[in-house]
Amino acid sequence: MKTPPRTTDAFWLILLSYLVALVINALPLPHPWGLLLPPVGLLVLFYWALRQLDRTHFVAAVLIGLLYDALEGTLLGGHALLFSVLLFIVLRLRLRLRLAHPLQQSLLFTGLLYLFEALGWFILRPNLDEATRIYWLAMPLTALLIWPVISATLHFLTRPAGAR
Amino acid sequence: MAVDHYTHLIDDLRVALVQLLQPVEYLATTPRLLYESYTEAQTDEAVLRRRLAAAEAENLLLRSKLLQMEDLKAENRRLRLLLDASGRLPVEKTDLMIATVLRYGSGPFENYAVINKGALDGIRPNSPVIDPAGIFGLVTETAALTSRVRLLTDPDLAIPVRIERTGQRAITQGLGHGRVLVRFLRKGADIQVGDLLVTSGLGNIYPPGYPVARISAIDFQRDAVFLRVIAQPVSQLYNNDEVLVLKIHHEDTPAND
Repeated sequence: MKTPPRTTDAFWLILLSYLVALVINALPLPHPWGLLLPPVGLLVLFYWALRQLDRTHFVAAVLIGLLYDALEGTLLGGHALLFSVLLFIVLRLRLRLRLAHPLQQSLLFTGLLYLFEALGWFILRPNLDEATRIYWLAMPLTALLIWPVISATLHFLTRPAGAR
Repeated sequence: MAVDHYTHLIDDLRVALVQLLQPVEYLATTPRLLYESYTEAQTDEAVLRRRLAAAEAENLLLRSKLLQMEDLKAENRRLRLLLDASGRLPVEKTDLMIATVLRYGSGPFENYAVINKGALDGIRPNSPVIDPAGIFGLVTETAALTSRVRLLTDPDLAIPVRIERTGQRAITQGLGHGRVLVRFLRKGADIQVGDLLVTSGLGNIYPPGYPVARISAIDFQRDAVFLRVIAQPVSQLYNNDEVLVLKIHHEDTPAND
């Protein structure tokens, strides 16, 4: 008899997905285009929160957040706090959200990233001027494009063995 | 966050996290390094020969200038001894180490660069970093094989400077976006757009005399004691492939230099 999939089954894939997300955010993109890139680790965290219902993923949110703090040079705990708050909202909605179309999910995550920016304005204190502010404000919109790619890629990698 | 902001208790945690990110940073720079090695392999031999000839000519020119500088240094030391200046700075011996910039931080939070030399190469936090034009930044965290350099345009980095033309002292603070604010210059101070700011040596972190920035705008604000002076860094921030890390050994006895 087949057992239902558990988080531990995909442990290495989860770890690898966070590593790839960090690498994407560490890519040396030319200034100011790097400002358009959302925290990909947060979107990956959302994916696993929707996919793996047996965990809350708060430990992952804090750890990934701390790594983003080190990567971006912000106060330790800033990203961790924001990631945890946003994850909490996703956890409240996840049973309904996981049935939604990826584009509908994209819209919600864009809204959440605007919340990330609004809270981050006070907590992370981004250093922006008139020229770069527009890139920073456009960042959640790029999540509209990135989320379907992340969602489709991780769906493909975690498809049941019978579908291969 | 409060602990990190007000104390240094979790600095080690930050270093550990930077250490964890080391493979991530190497992976992220791999595409660029591969592209560079490919373009290098494609470079024509004639172009390389031309570059070598130009480099040799420049080296000859710099060596002749260095000879003159040694003479000036000796004269300076002699004059200082004659003056017996009480406020003179401790003499430093400086080692230089060439480092390659792996990547620049592209986010809006901190202006930093990651270099390919770390604690195992003898790099320590608070080591100044320069490029051929002037001050580039300061090493803030060192992992085993890489280091984080905070650029001089970062708002959390302040550098004690003096105006080269008049000798007046001030402090620069980063504003981000390729600009620095020159603080504590009173109204009526003798400054002009285009004045060069060099390190004053106060604070014993940056050795004196290195160019930092050039004044680009002076704003006479009403009801303010100090001027609002903006300067542009002289170093090529965000365009440097290689930088120099200064390893400074402080000595107590100035006359022994």
